[in-house]
Amino acid sequence: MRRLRSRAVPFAIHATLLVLLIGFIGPFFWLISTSLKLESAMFQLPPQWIPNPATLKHYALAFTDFPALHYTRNTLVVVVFSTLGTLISCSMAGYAFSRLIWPDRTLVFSLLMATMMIPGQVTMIPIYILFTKLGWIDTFLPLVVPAFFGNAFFIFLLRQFFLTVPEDLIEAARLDGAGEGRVFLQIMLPLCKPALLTVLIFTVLRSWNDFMGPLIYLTSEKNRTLALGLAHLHGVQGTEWGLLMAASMLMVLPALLLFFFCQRFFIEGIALTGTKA
Amino acid sequence: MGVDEREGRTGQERLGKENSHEDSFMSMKKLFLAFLLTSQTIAASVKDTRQRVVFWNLFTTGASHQVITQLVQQFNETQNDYVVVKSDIPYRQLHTKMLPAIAGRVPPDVSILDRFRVASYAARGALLCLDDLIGRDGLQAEDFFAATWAECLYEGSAWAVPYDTDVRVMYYNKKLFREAGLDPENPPRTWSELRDCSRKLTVFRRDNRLEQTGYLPIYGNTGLYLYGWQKGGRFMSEDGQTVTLNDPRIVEALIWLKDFADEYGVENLLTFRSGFGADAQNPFVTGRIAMVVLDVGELSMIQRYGRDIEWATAPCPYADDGEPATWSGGFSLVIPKGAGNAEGGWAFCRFILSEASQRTIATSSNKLPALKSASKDSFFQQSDFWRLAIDQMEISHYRPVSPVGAILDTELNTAFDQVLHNKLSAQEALDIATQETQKSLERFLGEEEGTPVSWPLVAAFLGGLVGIAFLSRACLTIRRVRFMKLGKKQAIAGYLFALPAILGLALFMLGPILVALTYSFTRYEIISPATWVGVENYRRLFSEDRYFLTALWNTLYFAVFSVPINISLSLGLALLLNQPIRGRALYRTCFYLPTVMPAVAGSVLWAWLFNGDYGLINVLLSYTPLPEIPWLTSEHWSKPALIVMGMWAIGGDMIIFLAALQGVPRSLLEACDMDGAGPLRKFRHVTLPMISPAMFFMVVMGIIGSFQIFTQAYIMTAGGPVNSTLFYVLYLYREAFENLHMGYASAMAWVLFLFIMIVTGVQFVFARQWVYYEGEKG
Repeated sequence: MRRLRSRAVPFAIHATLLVLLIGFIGPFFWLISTSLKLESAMFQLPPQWIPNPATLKHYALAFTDFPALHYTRNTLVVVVFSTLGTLISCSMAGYAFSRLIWPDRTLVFSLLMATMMIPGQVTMIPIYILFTKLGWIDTFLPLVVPAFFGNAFFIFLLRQFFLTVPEDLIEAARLDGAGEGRVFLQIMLPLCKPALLTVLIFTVLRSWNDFMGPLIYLTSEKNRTLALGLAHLHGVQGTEWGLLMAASMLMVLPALLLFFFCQRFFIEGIALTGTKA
Repeated sequence: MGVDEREGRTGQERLGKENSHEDSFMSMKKLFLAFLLTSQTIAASVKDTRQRVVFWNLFTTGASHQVITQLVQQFNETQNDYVVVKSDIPYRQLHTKMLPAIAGRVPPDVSILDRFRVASYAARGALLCLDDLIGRDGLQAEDFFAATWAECLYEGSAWAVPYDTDVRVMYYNKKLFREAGLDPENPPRTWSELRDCSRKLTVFRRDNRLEQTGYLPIYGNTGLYLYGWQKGGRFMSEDGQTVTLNDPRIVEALIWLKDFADEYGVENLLTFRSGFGADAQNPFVTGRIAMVVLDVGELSMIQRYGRDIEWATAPCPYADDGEPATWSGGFSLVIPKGAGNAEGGWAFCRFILSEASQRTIATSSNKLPALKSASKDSFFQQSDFWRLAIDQMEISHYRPVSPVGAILDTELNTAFDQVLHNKLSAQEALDIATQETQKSLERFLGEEEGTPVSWPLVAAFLGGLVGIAFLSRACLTIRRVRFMKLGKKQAIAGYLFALPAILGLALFMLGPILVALTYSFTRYEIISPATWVGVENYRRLFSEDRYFLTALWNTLYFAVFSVPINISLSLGLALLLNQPIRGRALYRTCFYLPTVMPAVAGSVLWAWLFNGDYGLINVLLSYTPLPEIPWLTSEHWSKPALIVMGMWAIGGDMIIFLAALQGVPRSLLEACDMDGAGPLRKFRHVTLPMISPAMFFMVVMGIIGSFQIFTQAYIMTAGGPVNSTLFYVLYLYREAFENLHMGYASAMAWVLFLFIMIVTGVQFVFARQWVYYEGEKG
């Protein structure tokens, strides 16, 4: 009886997952298949799943006509620095709002939350004007510097995770004479690795795919990022579908690889000290 | 739906009309690339002492892109005063980029602009008046096609110069004509002939759906404009002061269109239309429509993919009691006010308007030149197609030149939509459209006098306020902390750790938010100075806004359904993927995949999936006894469709839950097992409480996020059909960036903000009841 049960459960799980999987990545296959088709076959209805004939010309074009490497370099600069900034500032703030007691905590937290409730469209222009006054237009600065000053979404997220770390652990460390810096670095951060990884993945992805920011703040070709370059393919006199799909695929791949690599750490039973398993 | 979608066209189809390179262009391209490469290296070695001219270009793909690049190159090589630095801007994003640039006083020196938009910008003082320059250099209006020059004029002055132009003609399929027993040399000339022909050319499928139509009243590059003009109607008075969308002749035109559509059944037509593809799948080249009005720019697509349909063109059929008419749109060149180098910009304009350049532009990209003499080129004269186009320019109209042109356009489309879906009669719909547009116009003209906002004063006031609040609070706090006995170290640490966030708040967030609050009490058209209007915006929002409640309702509907659904689904997935099964790394990556895709690709994907005829979803439904659903073309199913689409991107939420599940102490779970608790009890009493902090986060953020839903509706449905997907932030965006009512939009934003704040506040209060933070004292 037990053997049947222990085999039935994984089977049921796999079955459910596979069904859902079709819904989730089916469309993705259309993307791949379209990127391998000739233009004339792209919008055929009913659509053909297997491209026939298949062609790699869009991918070739992605490297010649579309300066993918150059855009990638720019994108990487923005991504690396904004991720760094976010991780540092948001984890610090997250700690401050969870396990530290200070007089204005609630006030500042409320203000922070409030900033998320205003649609960005109306703050866009004042922020833009601020950056023009600073002379930061057509540089990467508007995309990178604000990251070092916190982000309400991630601060809130990390706060929630930090709140799950038992108070006793922290108290014990403080009683032992550890300063807040040590508590932060040696207790909070290690215990919340999954949360930090989540923030990492989110931030990397957000800035990798960020389109609005580069659109508004970057003008010259030499500063263009991948997401912006992609938008150029959706032009006035028609869209370069093949190139768009191939370039999208190329954009998606690194992000996926990052995720695949990171989620290794989301394994139950990661070795930690304390009461956590 | 904004006219932004295509140059000078009112798009009624979405996946249609994409041009591709002609094969003959490949070799020209290679030649030109070689030319570029060599000339680049030469130019790089010479030090440039010429004045820089910043030029913003909207043509980023295809032949038009090559042409403009070539022309810039040519200009730079053939004179020594200026060097044009070209910056490519994605067409759909021009406003998003141009408006802030003008507001921030860093505009380009010269830019391409949709002619349709010129009046909007000019009326708000964003452009340089070109009268003097035109007079000085002796440009004559008569040298240009009337429709192109006139569209650049506002209140008697010229604010732009035309770049190129298009014109609409009727393409028809001779082969289908023959098959239906019609004379292919005699296409219909009037509306009654058109309907007659259409009837003979329509073929139904067995299941009573359309296989082929003669003419589709809801498809083609016409807008309601074409039909209105063909009936002899006028959309606006000569002096631009009165909106006349409900001109009786326009009403009759709309009635005629509705009647025409009803003959086939509107639902039928909509489903038929949603099955149209682009390029090789364009309905005209695949013989699904026999006659269609398109602009001449479609030539290369039709030549390339329509080889076996034997097509020809004719003037657009006009009303029996009306007059022959067509209309043109196109691009222009403008010099924004505040441009650093207006003379340089103008020099470039002159170059573009030269006959040689005009010829190049037109012959290379299937457009007509704006300059009449360039149309004498043999390229045009030796072709029946082009001669017809040039003839038609004589009777070509152009859309009303008005500061509220965008609003007029939206209202017209809405009226058409409403009538088509049987919501209103033609008279009612056009009356409303007229009133709304007229109101906007009067508001615009009337509010020109008002106390201007003195920004230095406002900045000083706000800065002072925030500064004082900040300082006094800081003083208080310092005192408190100084006198603290216990927890002093912690308090100081708290401030230090939160310092980046506090600074960020003060520098990058509070300032702009307070400025946005100020906007809400002004009339601010972005490119013109702001004036105070007190609480007028709020008053109008609550008492006069026709779409306020609709937008709120749509948003609430979406939030109420998508938040619980997404949370349950992502939690379920996270639970499944937390189990020690094989290949879960792969599974997780796959489910996360959709979040990684760029928005453009994703939206196109889903538009196809939801396609009424051939979309995958309906195909799957057809295998079940359930009926197929006209997803995005139905006002009842459009929101559910977007909710389903939202479910696809829950990868991110799934990760958060996964991370949370990591934090559930195994020791607790094992203890449960030993006590004999089943999986359900374990879940309810251990897992759920332990992940409740993350759950709380998801609920709060889910609500905040869903109240601000925008992108999908913007890309896929543009708020339609009949405003069923007009979400609050979409409406806000339209008001801010398309209608240039930033003040009003800011008021909208603050109302939304209050709403969300209350809802979130309530959640935080109730959090104590169900959110469990381990180890929390008390």
